[in-house]
This record gives sequence, structure tokens and C-alpha cells, in this order.
Amino acid sequence: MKSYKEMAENVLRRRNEYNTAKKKRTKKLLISITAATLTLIAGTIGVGAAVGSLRLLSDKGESKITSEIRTDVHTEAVAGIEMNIAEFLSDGHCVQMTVHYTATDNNGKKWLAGTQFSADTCSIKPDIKDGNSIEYGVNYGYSCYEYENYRTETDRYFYLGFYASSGEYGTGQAKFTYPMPDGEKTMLMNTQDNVGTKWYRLVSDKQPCDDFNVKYLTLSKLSFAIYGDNINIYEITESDSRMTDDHTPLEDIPIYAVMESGNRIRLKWSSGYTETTAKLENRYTDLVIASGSVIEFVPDSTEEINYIRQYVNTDKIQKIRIGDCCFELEPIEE
Amino acid sequence: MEHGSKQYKRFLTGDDEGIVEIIRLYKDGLILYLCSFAGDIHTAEDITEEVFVKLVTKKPHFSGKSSFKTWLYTIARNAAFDFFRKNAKISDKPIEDYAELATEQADFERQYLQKERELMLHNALKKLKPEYRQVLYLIYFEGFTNSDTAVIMKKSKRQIENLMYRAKKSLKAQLEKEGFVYEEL
Repeated sequence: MKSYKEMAENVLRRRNEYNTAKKKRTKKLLISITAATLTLIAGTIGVGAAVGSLRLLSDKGESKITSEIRTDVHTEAVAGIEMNIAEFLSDGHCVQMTVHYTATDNNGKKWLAGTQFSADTCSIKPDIKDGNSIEYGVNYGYSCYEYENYRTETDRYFYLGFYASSGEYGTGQAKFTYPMPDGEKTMLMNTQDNVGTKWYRLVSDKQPCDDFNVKYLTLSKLSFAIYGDNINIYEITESDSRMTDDHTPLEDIPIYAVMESGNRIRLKWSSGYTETTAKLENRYTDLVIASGSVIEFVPDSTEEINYIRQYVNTDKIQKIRIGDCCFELEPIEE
Repeated sequence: MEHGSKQYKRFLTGDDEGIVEIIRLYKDGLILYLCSFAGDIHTAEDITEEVFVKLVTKKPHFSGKSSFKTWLYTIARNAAFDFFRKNAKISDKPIEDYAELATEQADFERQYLQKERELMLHNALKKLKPEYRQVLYLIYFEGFTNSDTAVIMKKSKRQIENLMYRAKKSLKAQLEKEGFVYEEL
């Protein structure tokens, strides 16, 4: 075992190696950054459309989501800073946006350079009715990161997003919190009328385990959720419900989208918030058994990104395989 | 200002001694926590080093909304998942190394967990499911509250309460199997 001093020496040596390598990389990137900046400056198309290509750099899948991206959604200007929601994409479960800050004078430049942006200071989260995530059976994760290659003295671009286990949280809105020179601000955004969600009945003559019955699927170009009836996930009493000790851990059951081509794509879980009270809001069932984004994670060899996120073309999903069971998709008319 | 945040601030302003102090304060606890993911102390030590490398290279923003320790353990948990995603197919340890490793691990645990009762509990934890080990380690050994543990394990407070209930039940059964009676559980 290393002593703390040995570990500290290793850590600081690796920091120095990282910094040296980063300087070399920065020189290599200069050409591509210049090209991107020129596109932004010289393009005759609007800022929103130009940024439309920014987001797609990380989403190289076949899913045709470009047309659904709403651009130039909202602009606000205060004391040398302009904040623009350049892109917005949502199906209620999953919301993604690009936020562009521009400094319009020297004070704005100073503010932009000195402001820390993180998920703590700049975020979008579901606006759950009365803040009651337990009642609505909704769990969510949110993130904020910067498109650092596009950072200049006057411009910074950020990706913001959240993923919720259910799109039904009572308000149909998300709360966007963001910093401005005159303080932190919030605004509510409609999350429901952008990317459509379809409902399917999941049909099979057997079930993947004895703890729940799989019943329905919601699917959009961004996300999926599988709903079912509780058998042995929750022990329900008159006053309370508690997860049972002996149920199959849901995360251990793999879920695949079976495509028309016959290929199978493993769908990533985000841990569901399986609450029996979800029955109140989810139209048909007790449980959100599984939910996540319809993204294929393709391994990438680049140094800092471990995989490329590719949106799956959901129109070509033929079946859903859960564990050993294959389910046919039977569309439900709204 | 609590342990860690002051030192991290010092490091961010250019004083490397700040990070050395953080490593001194948190290295051993993190190794034992990460052992509940990794199963062996050397892998846990490697991941712990990765956590500190992440701090010094990426310099993530510490907002102060949680304690520094909670924040650091959250980063550690993410680092553990990253590590296993990248190294899922790697297993290069010869089988004969395991006996030596077990002795080394026991020595390390004895040093960190000075009380005999804690050591006995910690040994019983090793036989539980990883998620049970993690929640019990964070609450019993590192003194985190349910809310802190929920932040670290990315679960709701209610889910942590459920998990603790099941973990305690499982630990109690394990201890009883080994002939111990532990009234506080």
C-alpha cells in the first residue's frame, strides 16, 4: 500500500503530464476551432441554425431529430450579457438544450470569464407539481457541460439536460435556472409539445420474472419507459409500501431494442423510481419498471470520450427484449 | 470551514500542499469505501488515485451545497463506475497473489478500523451484496447522514431508507450466522 505522500507524488506527477499533453492537444485543435469560429462569424444563417450543427457533433445516429430541434427559443439581455436558448429538444422525459452566452461589452467579457457554470448554477429540471417526487413517482438526473472548443472571449456554449423516469409529473413544465450579471434567474419552459411520444402494448406469452408483469411501453425519439404491474417488487400495506427483500434486482435484467434488421441494441437503464403511488399518474399501471434514453453507446478510441452517443432510429424498432422474453409492440391509439 | 474545502481552495489558487493534505485526510477512508465496489484493496487504491488525479486535472467546481467529504465520495463513486467500464475485460492478477493481498487488506483494515467491534462488522459487510456494503459503510463507518448517502449513491432519501432497512436485516442475519448478537441493528 502506498503512503499518502507516495500517492500525492504520483497524483501531482500525473497532473504535470496531463498539462503538458493538454498544451500539445490545444495546438492541434487550433485549426478546427478556427474553422468552427469562422463558420459562426461568416455564416449567413442565424445563430440558432449554426448552433444546430454544434449539438449534432455529439449525436451522430440515424435518428432524424434535427427537424425537431427548436432554435432561438428565448433571448434575454442584461448589462453586457445576452443569454440565448439556442436549441431545445424535449419529449417530457428527456430534455436537452444548448444555451449560448454572448458578451456584448467589456463588463460582459469580465463576467463571462469569471462565472462558474455547473449543474449547481445552471440547470434544467422537471417542475414536479408541488415538488412532490414521491407522489408522482419521478426520479431524475440533470447535467450541464460546456462545449469548450467553442469558447471564446465573447461566447460560451453549454449543453443542459435532464432525464426523468416519467414524463408525467403534473405540470408539463421544466424549471430552467441560469446565472446572469444581476443574479440567478429561473424560468418555466413547456416540455410537452416538441418530440412526440407513442404508447405501445407489450405483448408476449411469458414474463421475464415473477416479480412484475410487463404491460406498456412509451417511446419517443429520445427516450423509452416500460410500465408494468407490481407482483413482488413492493409489499403494500394500508399505510405504506416498502420494496421487498427478495425481488429480482431490476437493473440485472437487460433490455434490448430489436431492430427491423435483426440487430439488437442494449438500452441503457436509468434507475427507475418504482413507486406504487405512480399508479395515480401513470395511466395504466403500478410501476415504472425501466426507463432510459434510446441511445446506442458506441465505443470510441479518443482519449477523453469513452463512447459516442448515437440516437437509435425508433421507427425501426420492431420488438423489445426484456431478459429472456421478446415482446411485440402493439400501438395504442391516443 | 470544514476539512477539505479550505485545502481544495488553497490548491485551486496554486498551492499543491492543499491537495497533499486532502490525500492525507481522505485516502484511507476512500480506499475502504471503494473496496466495497472493487472487492480488493489494490484496485480500490488505484481508483482512489484516479479520484485525486481527476481533482487535480479537471479541477471540478465545489459549490459547497454538500459537505466536501460528501462531494468527494460522490466523485469516487463515479470514478469507480468509470474504472469498471474501462477495465471490464481486464483481469491480469495471478491467482497466487490473492493470499498475499488478503493479508495486506486485513492489516490495512485493522489500522483504519481501530475498534475490534468495527472490524468485526466490517468483515461481516464483505459477505453482503455490494449495494448493502456501500450504504452500511457510508452510514456506519464514515458517519454520513441518510441525505448525504442519498447524494453519494444517487438515490432518493426514501430509497436509502429502504436500502438501509434491507441491508441491516441482511447484516443481522450474517452476524447471527457467525454467532454474534448485535442489539443495535
